Amino acid sequence: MSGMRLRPIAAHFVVALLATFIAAAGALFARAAVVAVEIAEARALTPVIVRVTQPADWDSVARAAALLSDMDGVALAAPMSPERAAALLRQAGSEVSPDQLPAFYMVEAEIEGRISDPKTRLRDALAKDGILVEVDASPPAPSPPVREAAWGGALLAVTLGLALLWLAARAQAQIASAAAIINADIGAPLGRTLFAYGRSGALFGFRAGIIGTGLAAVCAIAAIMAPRGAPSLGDLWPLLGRTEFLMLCAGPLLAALAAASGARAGGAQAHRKAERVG
Amino acid sequence: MLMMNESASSAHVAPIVRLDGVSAGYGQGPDVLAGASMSAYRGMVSCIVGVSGSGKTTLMHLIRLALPVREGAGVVLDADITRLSRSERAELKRRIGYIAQEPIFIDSLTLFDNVAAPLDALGLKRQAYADDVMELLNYVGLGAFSGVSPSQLSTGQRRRAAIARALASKPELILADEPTAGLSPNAAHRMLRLLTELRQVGAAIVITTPNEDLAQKAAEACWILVDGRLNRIALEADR
Repeated sequence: MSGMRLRPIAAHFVVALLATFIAAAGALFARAAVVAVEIAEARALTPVIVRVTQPADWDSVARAAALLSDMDGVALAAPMSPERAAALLRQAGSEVSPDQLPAFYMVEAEIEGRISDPKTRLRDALAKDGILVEVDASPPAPSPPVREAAWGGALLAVTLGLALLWLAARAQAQIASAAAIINADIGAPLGRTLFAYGRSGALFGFRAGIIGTGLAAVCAIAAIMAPRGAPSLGDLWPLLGRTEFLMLCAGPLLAALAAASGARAGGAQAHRKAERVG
Repeated sequence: MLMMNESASSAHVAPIVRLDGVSAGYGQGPDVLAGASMSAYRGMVSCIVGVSGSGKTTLMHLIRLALPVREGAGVVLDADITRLSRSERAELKRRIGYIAQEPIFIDSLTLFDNVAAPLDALGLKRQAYADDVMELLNYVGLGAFSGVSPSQLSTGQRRRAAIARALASKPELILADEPTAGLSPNAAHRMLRLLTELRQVGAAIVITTPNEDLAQKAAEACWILVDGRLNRIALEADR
């Protein structure tokens, strides 16, 4: 008895496998979407205006532009001419000719999104060369809520998958009710039935989880790599970060937990039914 | 192992089962048993005779504590079965061996493990009961099948395996629900002999059967179940 195993019924096992596939695929694709958003955000350029305050002259502006152009994360840096300033003001709705503008010493730059705190970084870098500046960075354009949508979808898929798995394990336990009936007949405590069914359910879920998560991983990798052409194993390895590794490990473990819980529920129901037939 | 109870010689002293005007049924359905009374004693075979559908299995469920008493009084192994808590019921069930008409086994386990289930449930280690279980299997003539799945056994063999399992926890009360149903005359005779031999070990044995002749041969006390009531039948040997 202590070695009791519920024989997986093919249909229930397939349902469990599909359930873990849905859950794992949902989570992995959400992760892929989030990574894609992060890459896009890192590549996005933030426009920046660098105002040279000291020494306030065109030589300093030219030197600042040259220094900024060599900095990591700066995509573009150029002195802003009065014509360019007037053109920008025109875009903003102010009709001003270049010769009407007061004297100003500015560098127009574009910073990559991956650079954190660009204001401080640019100011400190130029200060080292004796150029004092004030930096006006426009706030980065808000990303569409892809992360929230992706994780929301993943949560739904995981919840749905685990619920399906729970139901499949419970249904299987109800069908494989012999152990519960025997336990009830011989006066074994309910806890013994719960333990036996829980353990068998965990094994059932773990097996389904391994296969389902594995298939989801293959699909996710294929989906990520296909657009890159000629995929190779060498390309695959860098794609696996700690988050992806944890997801792949969590798949079978969560499946085991959900199935154990479902099997316990089914076993308990069968035990109670056998305890009192009337 | 088979010397279950040293007090076999004290038979006929206090009933192991006593039912007084008991009514019982399933769910909200009508009474299947209506005012049934009987008693069974240690070291004795009691037979309940009844046609199919008369309520024999219901009576077995009642005595094995799987069916609540609606009306009347009942005592099983000195416990009032009308007021048992769940844990008391489970504890009492461990002193009862039940042989169902269609015994249930876990086919993914060996026959040995199936028969050992009640001992395993008591938390005993395998090495502590291995010899006893083999002795039981040999007693019921299934020693050679200890390593096979119960699914490979015939109906008669499964019933004998159920007897072995019922005896494993050394019960004081053995209930056999139509143990000869579906068996050939020879197999039925062997089954009956096997069950009646158990009176030697001091347990009270209650057998249901539709066959009055068989009951007459086997029992020390016999009741017929009609319309939910049990009526005592005089045994030919007593006439």
